[in-house]
Amino acid sequence: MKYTYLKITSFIILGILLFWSCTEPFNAFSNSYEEMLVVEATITDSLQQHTVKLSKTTPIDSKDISAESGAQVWVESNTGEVFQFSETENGMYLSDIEFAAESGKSYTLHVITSNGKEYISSEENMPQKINLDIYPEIGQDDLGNEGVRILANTAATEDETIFVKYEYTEVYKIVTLVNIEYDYSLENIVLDDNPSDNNCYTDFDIIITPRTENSSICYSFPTVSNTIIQNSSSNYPENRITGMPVNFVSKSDYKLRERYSILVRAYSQNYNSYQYYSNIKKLNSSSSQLSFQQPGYIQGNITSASNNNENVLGYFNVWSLSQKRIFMDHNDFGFPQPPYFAELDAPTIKPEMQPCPGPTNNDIFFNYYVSGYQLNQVIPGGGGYLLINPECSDCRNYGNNYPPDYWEE
Amino acid sequence: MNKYFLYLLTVLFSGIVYAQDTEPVYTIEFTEDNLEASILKIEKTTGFKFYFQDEWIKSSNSASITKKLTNQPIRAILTEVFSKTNLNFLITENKVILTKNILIRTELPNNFFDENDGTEDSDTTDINAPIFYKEYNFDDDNAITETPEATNQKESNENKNVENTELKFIGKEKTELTKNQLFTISGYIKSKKPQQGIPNVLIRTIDNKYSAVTDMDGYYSIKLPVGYSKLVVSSVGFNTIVQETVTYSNGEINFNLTESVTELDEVVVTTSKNEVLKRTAIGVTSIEAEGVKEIPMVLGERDIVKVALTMPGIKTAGEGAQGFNVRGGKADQNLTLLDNALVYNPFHLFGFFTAINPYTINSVDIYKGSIPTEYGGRLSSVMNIKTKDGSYEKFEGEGGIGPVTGNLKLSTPVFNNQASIMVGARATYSGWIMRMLDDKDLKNSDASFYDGIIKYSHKINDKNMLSATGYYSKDKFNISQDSLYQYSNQAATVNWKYIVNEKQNINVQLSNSEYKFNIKYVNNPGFNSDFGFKINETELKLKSNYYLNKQHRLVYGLSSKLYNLDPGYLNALDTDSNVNPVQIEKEKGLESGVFLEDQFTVNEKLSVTGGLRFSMFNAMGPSTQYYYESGLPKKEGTVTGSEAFDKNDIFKTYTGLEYRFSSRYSLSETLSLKLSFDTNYQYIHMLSTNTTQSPTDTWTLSDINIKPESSQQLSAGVFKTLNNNMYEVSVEGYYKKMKNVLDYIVGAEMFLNENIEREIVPAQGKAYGVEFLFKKNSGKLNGWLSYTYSRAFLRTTTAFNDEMINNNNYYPANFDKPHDFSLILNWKETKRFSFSGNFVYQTGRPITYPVGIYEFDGSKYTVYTNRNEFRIPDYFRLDLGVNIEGNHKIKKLAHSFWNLSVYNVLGRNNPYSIYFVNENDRIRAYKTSIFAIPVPTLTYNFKF
Repeated sequence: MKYTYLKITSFIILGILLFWSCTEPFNAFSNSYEEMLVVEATITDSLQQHTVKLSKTTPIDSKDISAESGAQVWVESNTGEVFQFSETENGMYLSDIEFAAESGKSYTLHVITSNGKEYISSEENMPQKINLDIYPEIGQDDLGNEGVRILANTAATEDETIFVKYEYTEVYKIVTLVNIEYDYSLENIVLDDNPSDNNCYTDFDIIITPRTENSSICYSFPTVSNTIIQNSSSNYPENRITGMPVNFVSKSDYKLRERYSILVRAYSQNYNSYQYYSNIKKLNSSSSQLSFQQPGYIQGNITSASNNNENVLGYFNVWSLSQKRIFMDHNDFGFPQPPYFAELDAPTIKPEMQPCPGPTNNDIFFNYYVSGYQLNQVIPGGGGYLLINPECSDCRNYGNNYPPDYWEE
Repeated sequence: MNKYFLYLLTVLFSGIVYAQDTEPVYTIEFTEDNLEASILKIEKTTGFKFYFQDEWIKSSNSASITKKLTNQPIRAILTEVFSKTNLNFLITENKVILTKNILIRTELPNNFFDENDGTEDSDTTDINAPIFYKEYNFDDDNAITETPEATNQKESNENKNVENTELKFIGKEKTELTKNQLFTISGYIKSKKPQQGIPNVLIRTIDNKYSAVTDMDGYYSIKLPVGYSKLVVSSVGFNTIVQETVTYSNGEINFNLTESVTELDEVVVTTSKNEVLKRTAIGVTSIEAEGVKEIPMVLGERDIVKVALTMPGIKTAGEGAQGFNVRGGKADQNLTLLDNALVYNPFHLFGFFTAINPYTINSVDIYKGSIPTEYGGRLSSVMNIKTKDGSYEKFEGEGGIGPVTGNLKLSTPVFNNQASIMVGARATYSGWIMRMLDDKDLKNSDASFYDGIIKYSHKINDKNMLSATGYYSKDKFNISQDSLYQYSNQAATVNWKYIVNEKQNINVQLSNSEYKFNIKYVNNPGFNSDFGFKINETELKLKSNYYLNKQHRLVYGLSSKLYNLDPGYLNALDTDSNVNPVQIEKEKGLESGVFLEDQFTVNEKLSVTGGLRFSMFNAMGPSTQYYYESGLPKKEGTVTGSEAFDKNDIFKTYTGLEYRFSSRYSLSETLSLKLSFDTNYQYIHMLSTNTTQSPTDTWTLSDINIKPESSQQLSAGVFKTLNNNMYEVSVEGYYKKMKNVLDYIVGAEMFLNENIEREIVPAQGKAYGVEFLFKKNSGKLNGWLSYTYSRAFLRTTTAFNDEMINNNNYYPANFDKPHDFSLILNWKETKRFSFSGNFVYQTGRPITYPVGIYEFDGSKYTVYTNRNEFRIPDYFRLDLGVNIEGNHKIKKLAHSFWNLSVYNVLGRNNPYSIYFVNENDRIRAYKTSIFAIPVPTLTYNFKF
């Protein structure tokens, strides 16, 4: 509610100003663009190739994201280890080898951009390890909808306050309403130039082949959390965070229809890293009337080696990772099975259909084909075709048609 | 019986002395005798003893006399002898008293001792035997040589500037009087209409050897030597009184000053030249209400507070923004007092109007530095608004009718003219403005305000004065159909003044002030709620003025103030509301101060005021205080524990010793230098993340986690008057340092926040500037030009990245506007027509801009410049006005005038604010202007 109220108040203040005044668009940005380097770099105590993403700010009215390409990137430890990163795609740098950051050591990120500017992070230490446990619970979201809340219990391993950033990845099983056995394609297509007149001369040949690939049971492409979810144990007794809501799935959400899996990654952070993310979140989320809160540049832990006053965005994180995965479906909570995520649309194309009657050469058929409709059945004797909308018949657009390694039924 | 008139040299001698005995006659012969020889001869022959100053006789160039006078009375002899000199004489018994230039009248004025008959001194009026000492104070060079004829002519002239009054005798002649003995003369100086004491009136002997200034209530006390003195009583806006006195002992003289009609319509800023030049305080601005009625003002309000804000060193955020900044201080660092009661938000309609009825204001004093020790608790300034006393004589009224507001002030005497009541009221009928607007949403909105003030003044007797003021103001907005926004101020004060004796008086003051706002959110089922804030304070203050001796005047006392804050609440307005009620824990605190100040006149050229104020703040329970890990910023994540304190438990005490020092050195009669240094502490802080003050800003008290703010200011100035006070020029410079000023971390949230300490970061401030003022006080064209160059910076000193603002470098404060220029001119064409103009220029305010967008952690974010790196466009505005007065017959039923003014003649589209809105993931900038077109206003004012 606090959040709602902020909005209300801001609105009122704005309203009063408007009332006395004239308001016009103001060309504030023409001279105000400042190009800054944005660094997203995280190394953890998990043995893997770590990534560093470099980009640049873009003008306010631009929609592009501009990658910082061709930079030299490496991480040094205070014990003299050097981990080189190489660019794999535009602005994405992957460590050449797998490595795990170790506690007791400190690490520094170095970046030399293609224009020769050098940036360096402060020395970061591995924070304490944490223990994570996650569990689902029936609950409500802010709007009062019922569903499943994914909660996390996180505990310190040392006698110190923990700061935790949560990320999650969701994967759910998709079972299409209809299992399609055939693939079809159109060949020798002649298109009607003017479909609106009653002259129909769209023509094609239909080639039907048996479908060999599974297209009815898939595992959704992973979706990753895109908001900053953080908490610290300071509000809880005994250096643990209990019942931290990480995600919410409505009981009518399709995700729970077959089987749902969520992987929660809890990163133990140090205080500064935690605070950096919470400031970023705060500044960009509380209200749309930006003028009524104090905006500004948030200082991270990366500075320019040559110009102390150059602002650099982003953070070099050294985090300790703890992760857990759970599976669930609607039955676990006694919810009715949620509906399929799309309405079934199963048109039948018959030869006598207007406006272009005929065995195959039908404008309507062609349009369904272009929209990706799947062929469910050929009515024998030239009686026509049964089609199914692709959402309900081919899950390969929404996921992989094989289960991930970790999948448990 | 020989009986004849004694008369002096001039025709219009007003006193006639009848000799009771037979007039003796003498025969005397002068042979080439100079004046001195002649006097000796007369003394020898007649037995009369002469009293005079030797230099007069020696400097007299009159030719020697050769003449024989036979059987002449003494008067005839003297007339003959002194006919060619500039000496006058007075014969009493066997004495001849000579005076230079002036006449001595021997008749007692009718209203001698004025209304104070019955005081202990009233029987001491033996006029038959005045003693004049040779060293009485008279100096030819500075004499105001008003002949009686001239005086009488002037008395028939309503526009006279100098009133010569009749000789007054003070006390009883005693034979044992010694030379150079000084006596204390005290009294009360009031204006004739309205009947009220006038502060800062200068009473001085004509040679400037002895002088005094009335206190805030019009009382004065002056040391005078035995014998004759000529007093000049002067104050800007009033006719000067020249009063001749003969002092025998301690006594009392009261004065009634008449408002000077010629100056009535001029802009009169600050008091007399002597005040400016002689007082030690630096950075003090005084505005008197009578002076400002012609300045063109927005929507027809003659607003003395707004005029005061045009003076150098004081900045406002432009129209539509309330609050003001003094010498680089934040808006919450100003102590705004109305008859000594604090007013938290003295503005209506987001600062368009001062929330105090302009007709009831007598004067506004702003201390930008040299804050007297009796005031404390704010770092930057004291704005002391004083209301007028009601009339003790007759029923009076004054009012104005403008397009937006109606104003009325009435006053009447009560209790046999011993007391008076003054009532002021103002209300707006601005609803029509809203209905005129094109915007459909706003057409349905409403805005209204009103304020009222009542003042009771009672002269219980000569030693006791009682006054009480009550004040209330309220603003209401209804912008959309589903929100109602209100704020109100109230203040009440009772003041008792007791005059212990001529050396000491005591003031006891009890005041209470409250400010609150709330926002009701209605017509939105499920979310109907009421959000609000309230602050209340009660202060008891005791103050004493003690005139120790001619050189030292002491002011001392103590004060204590109890704060009660309701820092925020949110309540559901109906039962089906989804709003969870929130009540932030109340805050309580006690702020106390003990002060002592010595106004020390070292010598004629140098005077020094030194004072100390010891202030103490007790944070009191009930309260829950959080403790944070030392070495880490105060954040949710660094809480180590909390402690609950019971009601009235004092859980934290801060103290501060504040030094206030100022001095004045006169290089000449018209040129003086001043230097001052002061320190201040502040225990209450406004919470505002807006760039300008708004009515929804809340306040918080110092506690375990929020330290008091403190400041040090050094200022110096040069003051000069030219052309007999017609022009006044001053240049002042200051450098100020502040500590623990509240600044806010990036993204700070204040509303309904239980833990304000997590949002704020203490900052250091530094501010410096040069203020230039050129003023023409009188003449057809008058007004002033003020220019200020000033800077105000803040910096954080934290070691933590997330609390750091601009990498701990100094950055310009929100109100840092280096160039500030005001020109205010009045042209008085005739008595009935006058024109006025007002030009203001200010550098644009600093602002933090969004300068780009970036992708981070899977989302897009906006990046901003360093704090306040850009500026909004400059502000300038020209206003013009014309005043048309009714005729000037004094006996008329009502005096009236019309004021036509045009605000923002140039139609400049001054940006009030620039703000950024996130529209469909794209940031857009908008500029808001208020009154981007010329706004004409016609106002009718009347007075009876």
